[in-house]
Amino acid sequence: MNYTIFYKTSYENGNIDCGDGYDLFVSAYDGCERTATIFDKIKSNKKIWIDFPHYKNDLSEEHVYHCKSFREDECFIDLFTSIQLEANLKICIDITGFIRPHLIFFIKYLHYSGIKKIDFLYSEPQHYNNAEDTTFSGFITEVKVIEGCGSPINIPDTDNDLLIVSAGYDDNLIARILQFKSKIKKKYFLVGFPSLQPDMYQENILKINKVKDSIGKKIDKYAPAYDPFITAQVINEIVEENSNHSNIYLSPLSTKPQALGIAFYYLWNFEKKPISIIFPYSNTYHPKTAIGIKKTWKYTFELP
Amino acid sequence: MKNELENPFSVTKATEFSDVEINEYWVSFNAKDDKSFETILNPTEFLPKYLIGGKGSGKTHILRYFSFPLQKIRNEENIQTILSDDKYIGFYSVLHGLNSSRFEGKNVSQAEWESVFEYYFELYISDNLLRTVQEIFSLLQLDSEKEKEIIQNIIKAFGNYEEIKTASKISDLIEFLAGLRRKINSQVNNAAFTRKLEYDEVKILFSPGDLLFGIPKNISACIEQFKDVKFIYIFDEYEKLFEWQKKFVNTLVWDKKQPVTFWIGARRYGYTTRDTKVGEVMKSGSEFQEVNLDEIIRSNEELYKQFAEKLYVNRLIKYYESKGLKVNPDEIKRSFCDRFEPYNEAKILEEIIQKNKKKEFKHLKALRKKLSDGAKSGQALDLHDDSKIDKIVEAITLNTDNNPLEQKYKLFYLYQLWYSAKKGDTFKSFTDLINHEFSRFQNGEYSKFKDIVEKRKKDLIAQLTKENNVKNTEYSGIAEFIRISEGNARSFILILKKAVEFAKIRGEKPLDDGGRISLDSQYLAVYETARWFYEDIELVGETGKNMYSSLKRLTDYFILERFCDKPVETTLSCFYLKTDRLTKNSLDCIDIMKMHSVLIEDTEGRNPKNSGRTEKMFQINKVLAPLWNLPTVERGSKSLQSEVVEAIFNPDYSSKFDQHYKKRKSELNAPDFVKLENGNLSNTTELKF
Repeated sequence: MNYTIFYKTSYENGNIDCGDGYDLFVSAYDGCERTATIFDKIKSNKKIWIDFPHYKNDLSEEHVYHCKSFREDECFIDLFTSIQLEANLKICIDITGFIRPHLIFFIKYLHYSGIKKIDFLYSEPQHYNNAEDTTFSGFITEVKVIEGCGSPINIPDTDNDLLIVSAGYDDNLIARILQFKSKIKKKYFLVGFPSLQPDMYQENILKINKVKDSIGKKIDKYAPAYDPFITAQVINEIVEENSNHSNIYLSPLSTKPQALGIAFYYLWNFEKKPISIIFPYSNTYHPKTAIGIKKTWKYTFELP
Repeated sequence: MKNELENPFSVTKATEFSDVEINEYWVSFNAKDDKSFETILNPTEFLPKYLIGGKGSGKTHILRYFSFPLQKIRNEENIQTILSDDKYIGFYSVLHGLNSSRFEGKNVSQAEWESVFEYYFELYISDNLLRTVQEIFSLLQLDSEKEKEIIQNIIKAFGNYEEIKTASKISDLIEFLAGLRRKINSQVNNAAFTRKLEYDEVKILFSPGDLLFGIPKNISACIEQFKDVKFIYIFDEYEKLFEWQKKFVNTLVWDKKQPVTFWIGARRYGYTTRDTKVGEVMKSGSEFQEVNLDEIIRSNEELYKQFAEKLYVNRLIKYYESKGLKVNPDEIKRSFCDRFEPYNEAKILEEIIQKNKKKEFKHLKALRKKLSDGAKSGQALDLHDDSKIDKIVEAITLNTDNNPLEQKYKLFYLYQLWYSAKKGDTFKSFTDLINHEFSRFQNGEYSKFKDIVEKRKKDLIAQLTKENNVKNTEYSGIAEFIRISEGNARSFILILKKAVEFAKIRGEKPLDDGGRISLDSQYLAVYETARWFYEDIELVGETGKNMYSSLKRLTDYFILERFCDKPVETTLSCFYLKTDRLTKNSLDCIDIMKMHSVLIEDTEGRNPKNSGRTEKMFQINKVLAPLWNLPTVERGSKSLQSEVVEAIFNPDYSSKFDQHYKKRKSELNAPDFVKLENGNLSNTTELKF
């Protein structure tokens, strides 16, 4: 399968084209200009801000869904109960402010509910605070498979397991994942290149280098930081290169578009391959790490 | 390891070795004695083993060494020899593959999870068992009727026997079990959305143990060659399980049935329970044997030294052989050791002199400031202004030939005298005394400086390196690397890996004749290894946060003791505590630091006079010492009072740490020395707060 044939486009300064508009638009409130701009401009019958407890916001706006739980499988229960999810529902999700495991669970839930097509938006910032030292997450509370993101297949002979990490800014996250799956021999690092901004590639390399002794041997692969489809394609190539693979663990630790790419590859393959998505969880995330809005990407997922 | 041949130490984890390499790089600990791994683990006995050790202690290497793929390599694929001579088969499974954290939450009751997990666990482990058995049958060229008989015996235990009774091959059974696992995986996965498990899909089809114990029993009964052969389930990464999952594994171990036994590999921090599901607590010694690798290795320093030497020599031999060179182990060892540039304090001092060529040494500048501050605050004896400061500094530099270390010796003495000054003492009288003693020292006569040099040299050099931002290369040479690795083979190999890497970058040709590994490269190697060890501590959540905060406070305290005007203890690296006076929070934190080898406990502790109580003694893991320029020798020790211990280790009292820290800082530094009750800071290790 060629994952690069799916549709993507981009808009400058938040001037997005919504066509006829959507039935449902969902975005995560993170206090950044880039998410607020899109929320205002999007055309949708229903718009929902998701307020994650991790960000410790104090929101009293309209259209806000307050997550009561930190856990991805619990925090959306009331939301999903209140929405009639039908296969032809036109859904758009701004992934920019989402917490990655929650985003991936959200998408998996939609897929499980029969949704076949979703538009995703991601807005690049002008820049991040303190570049290399930007940390997005707090202390890690646990590392585990994202709820609902395992596979019916699990191979007990783990000799040829693959660990594919899309690695970015947070070296702490990388170190925890490597500890969690420390017995996996074959490790691939998917580095965002081209990066969202020119200096980000070097910053990523610096961060990965900080934990090189925990990593051991690894193989680097590259996919554009803004492109989920090429990300999925590169993962596909890695898996094909390792035809004798046993279990495959994907860990989305870099940009949200790459996390989307991991989810995309997973959704197309989890029924037939032993794939799981793993993540190091934190109950604290630092909102407002991004400044401004530069470019907004739109990705259209068509799912099996 | 083909791509790694440019650095013989590049592989630091057994996981990255192939089976062949596990065998080739195997080095037994004290192979001829009763402390060899083979003797301790003794695969021919039924007693289960729990192999406990910190990261990098060699657990995985050892466990894999006893697994069937390695047995095949050692016995050149001869299955008859394995069965008749080894008399055991090792079935190695890594428990991370279970992804055991899936079996919780999702609105499913704990009882349901336990039932599903136990069922799944048996199916999962049986897959590995059956695949190995399948290979053994093939090597034995077992006839198909015999295979059918065994399979039929096994599947009779299944509740749905009628549906599967046509199974005649191991592959049929493997496929059937895979189907059952698939159903459970789907249910566990989808429970995140459905919030329940469908009973029919996860219905248990056999009694617990029917496969894990039943399959080996059937094979033993049906095949003559298996008559006295033990089936050892080797489970690595026990620490990855939840507590209730560990109890289930313990129950299997406790309730083992011949011909089966278990070896369980666990990180120290993950070996948290001996409880079983049936309420029995497993008895160490009679029901299982605990093999604590860290303790075995650390309590046998000489054996560890020999072991570490064999490890690196073995790697070097493989490296040179791969280059087509003939090798002599003794020659390799000698020439490699010789390439490590020896520690040279003169070099450090020269670097400091060069750095300060056009300016006054920092320790002299600091003296001026302390005297000036003291004069202003009335804490500097006869000094009331700055007029005599030049003379004092001149007296300190006199006859030192611009040697900063000699000046430091004098300063140390000056600060001691200043601290214990009596009425009428003057700085002039002090500097006269200092120079008199120094002159005697230089002439080889008995002098106060003999003692200062002997006891304080390392600390004062450390101070100089820190003040001048120069590398403290005291952590150098193979023997020192072995010592600071604290019995941890991975730390030792990592230091060597980095030393070779840094030396290569510097063009020192560390593996070639005539090459060398400079002190600079060695320093960077130990520093980077320390950084790895620090950052790789496997702790998450509040526990992890608290542990790191406590470690920061502890090291701040030790740094304060070493880098002050008047260090009390010599090369302070250990501390004592009275544990009966501590809160649970502090004890838990200390325990966690021990589990992760951040703190190393001296098993003997000490008994202070007349106290009737044993104090526990700890040292910060030597491998971490370079991060803070702390000493690695076990010379100086300090008894920490309970209030200080609480402020360091108990998060509830951490806000008081600043107060203790500031007070101690004043006591150790001029001009704010604070005198204790007897007016003198004696050599006692007891401190008052």
